[in-house]
Amino acid sequence: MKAEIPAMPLSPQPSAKILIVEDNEADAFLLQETLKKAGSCPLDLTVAGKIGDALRFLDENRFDLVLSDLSLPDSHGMETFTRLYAHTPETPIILLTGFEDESLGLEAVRAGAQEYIVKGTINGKALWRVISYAIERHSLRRSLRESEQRYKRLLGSVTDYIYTVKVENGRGISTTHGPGCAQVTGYTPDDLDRDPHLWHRMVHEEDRIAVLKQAAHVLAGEPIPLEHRIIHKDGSVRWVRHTPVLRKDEQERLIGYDGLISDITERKQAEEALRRAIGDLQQSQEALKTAHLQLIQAEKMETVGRMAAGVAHEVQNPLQILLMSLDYLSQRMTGAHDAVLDGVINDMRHAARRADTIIRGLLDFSHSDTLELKPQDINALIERALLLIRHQLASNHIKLQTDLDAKLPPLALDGVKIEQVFVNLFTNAIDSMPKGGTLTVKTSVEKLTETHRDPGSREAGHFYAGDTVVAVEVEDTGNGIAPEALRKIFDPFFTTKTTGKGTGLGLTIVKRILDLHSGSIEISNRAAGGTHCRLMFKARNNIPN
Amino acid sequence: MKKKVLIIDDEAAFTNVVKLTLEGAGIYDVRVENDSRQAISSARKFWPDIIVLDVVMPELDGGEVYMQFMADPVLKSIPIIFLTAIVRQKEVDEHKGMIGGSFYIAKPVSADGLISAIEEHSRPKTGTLGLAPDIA
Repeated sequence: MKAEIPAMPLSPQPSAKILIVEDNEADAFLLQETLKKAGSCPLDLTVAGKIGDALRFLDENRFDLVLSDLSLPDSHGMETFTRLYAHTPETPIILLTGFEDESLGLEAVRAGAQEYIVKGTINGKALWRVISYAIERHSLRRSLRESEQRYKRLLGSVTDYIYTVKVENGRGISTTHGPGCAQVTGYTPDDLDRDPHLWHRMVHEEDRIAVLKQAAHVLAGEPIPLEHRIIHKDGSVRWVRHTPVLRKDEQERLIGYDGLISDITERKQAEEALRRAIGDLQQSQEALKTAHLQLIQAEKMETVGRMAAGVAHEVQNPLQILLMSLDYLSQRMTGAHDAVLDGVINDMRHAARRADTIIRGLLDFSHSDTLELKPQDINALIERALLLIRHQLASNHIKLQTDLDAKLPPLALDGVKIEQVFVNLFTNAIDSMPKGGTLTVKTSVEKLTETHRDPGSREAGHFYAGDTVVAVEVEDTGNGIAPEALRKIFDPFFTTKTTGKGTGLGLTIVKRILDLHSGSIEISNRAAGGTHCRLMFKARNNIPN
Repeated sequence: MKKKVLIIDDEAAFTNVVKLTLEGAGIYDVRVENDSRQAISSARKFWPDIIVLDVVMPELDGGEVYMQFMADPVLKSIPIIFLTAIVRQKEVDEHKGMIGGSFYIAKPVSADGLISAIEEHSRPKTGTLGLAPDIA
């Protein structure tokens, strides 16, 4: 008897699609009627009289249950069950047996059948109960299996390694290692089981003490997390976060703990990269600040330089007219003896001359970019400069002390300009000692032990550890320089001298000249009072061939 | 006979006081030219014993005027002193008053300074080329 294959039931109630395998037509009919009457949900029944048909139906359909007689024309006993079960292990099978087949039924259940029913022993309602339980049980089993598989899959894919320690009397007595250990450590649970010391060996030697301390805390009831390093089986160093979780019994005694170990190497690497990036950023900020300072200084110099040249030219002409006219006037005045007029004209002359000096200073400053370098003995230049100011030394009662190293290497210098530098420094020293004092000049050769960077000068003003330098030191016992002024001492037009005495360009020009020579100058106050000025010139690679 | 000095400078106030100063000394006859384009013709008309030439001028600058003089077969033998603000006295001193084959004085110069320079570099009153002053 073939039943039609119905369309998909659209009823909201669950329906049962059952395959009846029974060759006896009367039994099959009876079975169907019983089921229809007893069933609590819509039924879709198919009947197959032979195993062959049954298998074919099973191929073409999904059934919720197979209800099968064991003896069929083309299959007997266990064979029937075996073939059905092999063909569709997903479908619950209930066997119908005769009295004499009961043992077979049992065997089949052990082999995977859901149930067996001895024909004639069971009524419709009971049959239906068996069927629905069988279907439900089967579906539950499947859910469980799926659930287990999902759990296994989950566990297998977890990148965290969980170990479980059993604790007795405050001591860990055994450890089980979860499958995640392979991902995190490279070792399998077997490796770890076989060698109980492997875990400790795996911990980075610098972190071992911390790990032991953590274990001690855990056993004492304090689950403290710890970040430490382990050596992966492949030799690489990994960072892990090791989090213990306690397990206690009803009396709050520690009976065990789990350890969750997750690999945080990436996070640590990112942290390290961030730290380094911040460090780099700070460094480049410093470099930027320095470069900025250099630029400001250079700009100041250049602006003034450019301005100076332009202004100087413009002012020279009117100055020339003033001076020449004043000369003429004073010539014409000599006849008429008027002291007041003489005085006025003299004052005008002096004023014009002062303006002239300033202009010349400006021009000097703006024109000081070119050097004529020749091998020079810097001691000789110093002595020439001292000669130029010797009268001022005498008239201001200033004692001179020199300590010039005779074995200085020759330096490539522009003699005229360097002499100008020394005259300027000596003059400043003399001006700072109106009541007398001592001027000291020292020269020496030195090998630098540390790198020296002058933030206000360009690249050329840098000296590096290992450089051989000629150092010149000029000291006075005068008034010193106020700390606020020290910062601005090289600024154009900055002067601490009284109006009319200084143009404020002297040290600016001095610094410019030093820069052009790739040298450096540092001015500071002496502890004992007065000013200390230190110049440095590179000695190596200095002489042109 | 007084020495003839031609001063070429665009600044009238300056040339005025120079003329007053030099003529006040009693030994010079001074002609002033404020337009550099007229330098050659002024020189041809005046026939100076020495020319004092400013460098920075509008229209033609001192260098260009100098070239004009050098190109003139008759005028090129007249001594020229450059008087200019664009060199510094130090440079002039270093090079003994000569830069590039010409005499320089750095502005500002005093009356005495100008007179010594004129005396030092002008050719004597006699011994000119013997040409009439009005040859153009």
